[in-house]
Amino acid sequence: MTQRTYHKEDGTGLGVAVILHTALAAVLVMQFQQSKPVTFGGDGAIAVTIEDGFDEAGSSTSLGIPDALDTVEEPTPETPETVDEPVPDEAPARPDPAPRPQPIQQANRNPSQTSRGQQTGQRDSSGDTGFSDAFGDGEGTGSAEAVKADIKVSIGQQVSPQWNRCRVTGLDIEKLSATVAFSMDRSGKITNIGEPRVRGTNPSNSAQAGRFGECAERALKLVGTFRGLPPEHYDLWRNYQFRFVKK
Amino acid sequence: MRILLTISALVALSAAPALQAQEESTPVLESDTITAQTDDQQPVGTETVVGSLDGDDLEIAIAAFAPDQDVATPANANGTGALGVELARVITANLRNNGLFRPTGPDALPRPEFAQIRAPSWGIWTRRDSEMLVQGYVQARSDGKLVVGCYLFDVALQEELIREGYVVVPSDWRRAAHKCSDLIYARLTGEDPFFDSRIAYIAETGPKDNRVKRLAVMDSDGANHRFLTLGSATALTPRYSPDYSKIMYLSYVDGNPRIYVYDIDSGKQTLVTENQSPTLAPRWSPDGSSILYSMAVAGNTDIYRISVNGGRPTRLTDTPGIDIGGSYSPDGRRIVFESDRSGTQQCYVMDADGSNQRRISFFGGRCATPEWSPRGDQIAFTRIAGDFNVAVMTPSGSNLRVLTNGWQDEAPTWAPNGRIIQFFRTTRNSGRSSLWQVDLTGRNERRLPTPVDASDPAWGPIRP
Repeated sequence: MTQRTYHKEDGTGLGVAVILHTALAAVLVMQFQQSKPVTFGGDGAIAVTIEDGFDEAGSSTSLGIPDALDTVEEPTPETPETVDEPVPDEAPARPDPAPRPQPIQQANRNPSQTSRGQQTGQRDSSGDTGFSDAFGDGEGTGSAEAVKADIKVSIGQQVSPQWNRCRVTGLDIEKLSATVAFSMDRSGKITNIGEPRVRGTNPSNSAQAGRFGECAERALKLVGTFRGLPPEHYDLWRNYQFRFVKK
Repeated sequence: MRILLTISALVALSAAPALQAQEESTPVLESDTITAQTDDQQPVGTETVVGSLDGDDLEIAIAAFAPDQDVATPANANGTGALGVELARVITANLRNNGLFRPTGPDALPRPEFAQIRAPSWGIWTRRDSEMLVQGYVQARSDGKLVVGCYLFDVALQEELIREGYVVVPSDWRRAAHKCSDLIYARLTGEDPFFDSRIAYIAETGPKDNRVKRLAVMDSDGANHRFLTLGSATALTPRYSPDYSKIMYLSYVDGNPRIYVYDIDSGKQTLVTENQSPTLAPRWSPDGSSILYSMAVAGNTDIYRISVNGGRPTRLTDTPGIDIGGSYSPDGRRIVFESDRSGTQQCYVMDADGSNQRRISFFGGRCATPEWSPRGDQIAFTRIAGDFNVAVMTPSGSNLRVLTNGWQDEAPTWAPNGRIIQFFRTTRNSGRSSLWQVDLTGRNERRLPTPVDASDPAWGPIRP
């Protein structure tokens, strides 16, 4: 039977060994954290290290936009940058505007002033006469739907060129759609963009789906501020949603 | 050849002030569906914004890569400063040739300083109406290697989109440019990369009735061209192995067609099967472990599979007639092939073990040389209906789309990302042939320059 005895020298040796192993483990952990190799191809095809001529910044800067729509603070009324018409200070917010004359309409009827419809050049072939007629003198359509239609044209005209700046090509791209919700403050400035929801993916277009959604979000970022929206009907456009497609 | 590639990719979306809207084209609003989505019980409008699939190509500026200091390098006789210009030129040419971008190269652009690479002078680029900007740097390291940094910026949003760095030996400086091109392409299209890849093909010289056909290889942009065989025996249908270490091809060394595997590093060639019967149409399995080929025995041609290490082949088809040209699906579970069992050449799909054989082509004309897409969703083939044209269909045989309209376009092969198809076109009367590429959508057809006439292209995978 073998009997082991430990001497003082053994204890010292064990202590040194523990310290060295701990140091080795620390070095290995540090190396692992500092260098996450990216491997291309097969075994040992190439050696890869992390390196850059610069010190990597590596920090993502916040977009400055809240992530979720429900986190948006109530926009504080601001002086709209693009409203030329005098707007009564006391104009009440009306969730469901009725088609009857309002004080603002009187201002809009002033022929010497530019209507919002004219500002944004949004007259379409249907002869829609814009916000002023919608709530103007009682001779227009005078309905909430007419206002919504004008908002739609105004916003759409501003975002469409930006959407076209991003080209996405490939098979079945026309089957993709990206729905993006966003919020605006009273000046029309986008304060919050939701996560794009891309639909219509299949094996042929799935590679482009991410870029498609990114382009939709980019279009809104490029607009930045929608001009010419009626602050008195802020509740009609404060939260909006686009469905972006390409045909 | 081994290189060191250094990757440090970081996506850094940064804040940007909202930019003013541009006054451009008239929008098209498709529908007017109002949905009730609210944050505080207020109505939300949902409108459909219709953009154009045929929008303008993306304006992208590719500035000369800045050296940290202009020093000598084996990669360029005029030093790292000149090398930085060449890097940007290669990237510019890559991006110009696929019909998605309108690149402006370094010769028409200001040259940023090294210190500006990570922080572009936005005013310069916004004034030039560049939508995107590529900047980079090149450094000669003390160990002889080069460090190339590649940065992509969204000029309109004034954001950095992505960056990568590559460490290469000087002789591989073009690979750094291809990797940078791949980075940009993948980031802006969502597609997989393909520039850092190679192409094997058959180089043809001599008169029409006595052509010399040699095996040749080159980079995806035509650079680094090399002839691999002398031309004493006719070579056909090359295919790169998935790891680029070998090329399999057909050679008429003794007058009979036989399949050889050429080891690129050693130059050594081996015969795939020791057999007196003619063997044809070799293809690798996706994992490189086995080979498909056709063999003609007593007037009947069938498809066989054999391990790359040799051994006993497995016969996968046994119907009378010619079964040839098997091509694996990317998952290795199915094979598309060509057969005349119905009386004319048509395309069929079977499971990898030869079971469940079924015809998939039922359109007018014949179906030949099918090749399964690396993405798995399409099969390219030669459609023979009077002229020969390159076409694609789904693996079930639906959605036929003819992509080319030449007199004789044939033998399609896919880019590694399944986005571009390469084929060869033979000119009527002269019999001269050349390599062409076409986008999967049928657009952006272009000729790939080769030093001599060319046929039977084979696009290899993205390089390891």
